[in-house]
Amino acid sequence: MAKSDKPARKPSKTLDDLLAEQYSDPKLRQRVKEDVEARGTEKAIVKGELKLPHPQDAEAHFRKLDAASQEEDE
Amino acid sequence: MGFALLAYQGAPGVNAASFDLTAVGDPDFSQRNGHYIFTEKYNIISLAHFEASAIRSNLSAPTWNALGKMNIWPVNVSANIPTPGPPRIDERFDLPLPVPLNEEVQFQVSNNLGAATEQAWGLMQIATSDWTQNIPRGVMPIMVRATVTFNPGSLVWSGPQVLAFEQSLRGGVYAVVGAEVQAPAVIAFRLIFPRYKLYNGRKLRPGWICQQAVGDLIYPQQVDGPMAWGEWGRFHTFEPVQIESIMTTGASTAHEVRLWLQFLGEDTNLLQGGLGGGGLSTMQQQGAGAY
Repeated sequence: MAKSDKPARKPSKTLDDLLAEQYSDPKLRQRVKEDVEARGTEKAIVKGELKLPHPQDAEAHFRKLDAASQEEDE
Repeated sequence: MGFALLAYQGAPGVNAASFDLTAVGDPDFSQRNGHYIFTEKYNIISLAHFEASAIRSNLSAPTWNALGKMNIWPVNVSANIPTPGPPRIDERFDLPLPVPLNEEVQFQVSNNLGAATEQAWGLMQIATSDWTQNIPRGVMPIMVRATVTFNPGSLVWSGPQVLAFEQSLRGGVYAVVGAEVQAPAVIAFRLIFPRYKLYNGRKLRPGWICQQAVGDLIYPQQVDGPMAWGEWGRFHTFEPVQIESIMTTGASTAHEVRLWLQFLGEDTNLLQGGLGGGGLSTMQQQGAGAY
């Protein structure tokens, strides 16, 4: 088989692609991205070893964080 | 005797390994350090784990741990009850798992989450040591429909809610021999019988997982449908059975309830048998005879 006949290798998805697929809200997407970067789980997510949280779970998580930081401020 | 449904919940984080879920507050069963602890003999008849990134789960108590890790399998890779189903249930009622007495029973979950946290649920159906799958003798079982709309709140059992039956039932005593509830985003329901035979002084609230949408399957293949658990309890039409439910994010939700009922008869004495709770007979209540 000639080189040119080989099926083109599917480019793997980047973290941004996966985030865009999972979250329609750009703010939520950004917060999850920051969370992923802070935890250093980007590679594992791109490889498919770890999963991105469901949008509702992610929202609930950040809501809790915001509530906790608001309480601390008060 | 009967069976009861108990729930655990929690929000495990990234790559959680054996994350310890918290027992949901329960009016009948006490807890130590956020885990149920049992002082009478029960057998676990089914277990279920729901979490979007679930990979495995297990129970933990010293008696089991002395043998090995008590795994739960399969798991539901879903934050909610899978639709259209069937759900993945660790079903054990052919060989029920005895629960150790006076030991904290932990429900632990593991995931492959990559960011933030997520909601996880653990459900446990326990039956008394003398539980049977027998259905009481009566007129043929019929399935009736009832509805109720309420907000169960977040991560708590809602407490009893009154059912509105589609049609008035003929007056008398009915045994509930099966139940299903369809309510979107609701995890599970329990039935609350005003009169219930106590098990070592304790009242049980039988229940099961909810259907997300009409037509969903909520029984694993091993279970023979809604009438597989024998009698759930019995009630007189004067004082009908009530329902409670539990969900992740509280919202006003329409519950469509289906009850498989066995009409036992008109005599209130029928409440004394089965799971009806005993008590005084009609004659006794009326003061007849030398009691």
